[in-house]
Amino acid sequence: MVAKRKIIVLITALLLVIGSMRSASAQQPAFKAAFLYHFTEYIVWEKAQMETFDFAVLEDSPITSQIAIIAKGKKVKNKRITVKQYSSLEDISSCHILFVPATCSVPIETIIEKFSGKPVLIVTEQEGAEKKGAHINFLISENKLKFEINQKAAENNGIEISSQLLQHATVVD
Amino acid sequence: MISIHNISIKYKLVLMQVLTSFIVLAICCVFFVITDIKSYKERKADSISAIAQVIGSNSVSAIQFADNASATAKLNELNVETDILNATIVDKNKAVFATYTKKGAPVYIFPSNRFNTDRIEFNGQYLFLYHKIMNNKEVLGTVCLQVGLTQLQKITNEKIQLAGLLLFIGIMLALLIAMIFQGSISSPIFNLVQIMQKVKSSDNYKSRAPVNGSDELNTLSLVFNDMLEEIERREIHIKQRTSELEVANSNFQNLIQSAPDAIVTIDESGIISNWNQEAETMFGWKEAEAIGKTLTETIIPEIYREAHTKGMSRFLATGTGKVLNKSIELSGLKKDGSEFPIELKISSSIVGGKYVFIGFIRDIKERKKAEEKILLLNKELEQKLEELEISNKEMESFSYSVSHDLRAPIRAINGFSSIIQKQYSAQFDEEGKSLLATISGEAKRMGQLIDDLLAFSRLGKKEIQKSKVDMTELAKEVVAEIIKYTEGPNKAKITIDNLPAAFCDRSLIRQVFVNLISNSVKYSGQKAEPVISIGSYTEMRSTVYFIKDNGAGFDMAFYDKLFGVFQRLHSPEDFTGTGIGLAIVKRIIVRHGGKVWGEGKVGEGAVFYFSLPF
Repeated sequence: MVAKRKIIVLITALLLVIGSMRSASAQQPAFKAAFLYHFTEYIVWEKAQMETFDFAVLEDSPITSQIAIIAKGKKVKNKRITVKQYSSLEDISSCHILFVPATCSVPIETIIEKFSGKPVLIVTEQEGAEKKGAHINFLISENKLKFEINQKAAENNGIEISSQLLQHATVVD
Repeated sequence: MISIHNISIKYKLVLMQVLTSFIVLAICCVFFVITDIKSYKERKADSISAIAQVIGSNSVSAIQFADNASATAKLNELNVETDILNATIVDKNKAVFATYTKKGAPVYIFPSNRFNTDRIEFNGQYLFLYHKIMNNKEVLGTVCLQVGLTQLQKITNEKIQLAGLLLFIGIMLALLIAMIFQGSISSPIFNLVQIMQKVKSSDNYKSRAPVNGSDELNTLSLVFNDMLEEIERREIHIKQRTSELEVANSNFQNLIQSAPDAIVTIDESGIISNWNQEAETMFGWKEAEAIGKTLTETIIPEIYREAHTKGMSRFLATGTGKVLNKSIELSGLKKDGSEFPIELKISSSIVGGKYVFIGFIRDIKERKKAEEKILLLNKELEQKLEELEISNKEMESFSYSVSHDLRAPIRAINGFSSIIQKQYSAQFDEEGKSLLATISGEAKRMGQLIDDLLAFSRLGKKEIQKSKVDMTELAKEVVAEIIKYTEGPNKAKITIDNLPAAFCDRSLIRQVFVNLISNSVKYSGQKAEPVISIGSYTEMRSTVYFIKDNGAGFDMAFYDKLFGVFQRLHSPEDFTGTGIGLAIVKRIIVRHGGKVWGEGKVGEGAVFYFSLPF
């Protein structure tokens, strides 16, 4: 009886370790893509025109394909989902979420500048980007994927973020 | 071992009521306890399931954003729920996402095969609840809860206690009600039973059960009372009959005891069961000695014993007996060993399915002696009769020959005296003529006497030839003839009643009528108004005919001479006759088996009677 219980505890512990390992390693783009997709549930684009729901990725990133996998056959705000990867900032005319990979050559400020006042959620993965005006910024903390939210910046662009999402994030003023 | 049948009806009723109440209440209590537990479980399941739903929906975002800390923090809020012991959120890959264990409670690892399902399990003192976390129709994970049911245990105990209390109160109430109401059922029955016992022990049928209503028990009492009345009536009737029977029996016993014959009854095995006083006197055995002994031990002489035993067994086997219902003569044995002649008559009857034989025994010692005497006397009598007949015959032949021989000289006297009267009357004077006439008359009378005597003696020899004779016609015929030949101044007035016919010899009875009627005419001839009546009356075995007149009559002092031969009560000067008529009448009537007699008074008349047997 005691031995059995010990084995169960051991297996559970092992599963926990494996889970955290998974989130911390090679699957990071998949997690980020999933997060991006889940964000849409807690965010309202108040002024946005929405015929389709558009994901945009600036410059090359493995996340694009991951989003495409997740979004396949699904809808956001009851709209069809489009995922596009842009090589230059100028090509992006309109979108609802713009993901800026860490490897992006365009400075954060330029991007923020371009979409200032427009209902586009800008998500980054660079340390300090949120302080520069990015709405949501991914980071790894304690070997786990976390994110920071600049609520004021988002509000300024007409994007309302629900408190439910805020409770999982580090909120920056 | 106490059988249900031996318990008083009172306790049966109470027991029945209490048992019924107990069963009903117990079923209700069990039902309510089960229902309460079930509804408690349902309510518990509902509330826990609501909590699980809240946790689930609150955990959606935490799972989406892999925020274990947030989820764990949410689960820790469960500490306000005192009975949630363990809570775990697993993701859709069944990996543990967040766990909670109530302080002080043992850690429970939920089995992974329950994950990704909605289910509620009650397992002993725990409730296990698994709730799928859904978002946009997508399973995100499972909320698993382990809930302690200490409350349930407590509630169950409370309910059981309450049920026990209710059961107790209910049974007490049932007992109370049963105690109150059993009286109305059992007390009439007790009354009945008491009265029955009273009647049984005292034989007094006057008691009556009280009746106060019309239910079945009162009807029972009513019927019982009627029955008692009927029994009382019968009892009186039986007592009456018994006393009547006692009287009849004592009369019967008296009859038997005082009977002039010895009366002895025996049963099928020959044992004496009754022995009356005459039996005591006759045989010398007292009643007390004789009863219980067999006949062969007491009164049957040795020579008859075997026959008696055989006869009894034959009768018992075949139902027929040679000696039953007729008088037989044999000898009896006295106690002192002497034997004496007895007459015995045995009859049998069946009493209570068995034969009883009654013997009537008469001591015929005296009778035997008398019979012997009679036999002796009879012999003497017969001898004398024979002698008498011989002398009678001698007498008859003598008188016949005498009369016959006497006729010749009389005829000679008669003849010669008539010749003298005719041829020599002139030679006689008047006196001579008168003497001659007297000689002739006396000679004629003598001839008549001899004729009558001959006729009389012939009567003794003549055969009687009987036939049915019309006596009225015969009497009329005789009367007519007599009147024709009667001379004299006073013709008699003769009346003839209707006479019954007789079975007799017509010519001889005609002679009787001629003799008697002519006598009457003769002896009443000197009366101014002679009256003669002929009549009859019936006696036991014969008809009596009579001829009555109002003539000279006779003196009863000389009655003995009346029917003798040549006996006359009157002088020939007064009335003619030979004195043989009544002797002939007597002889004829006696030969017919009848009787003849007469009554008379001098100067007033006479009646002559003769009887003829039917």
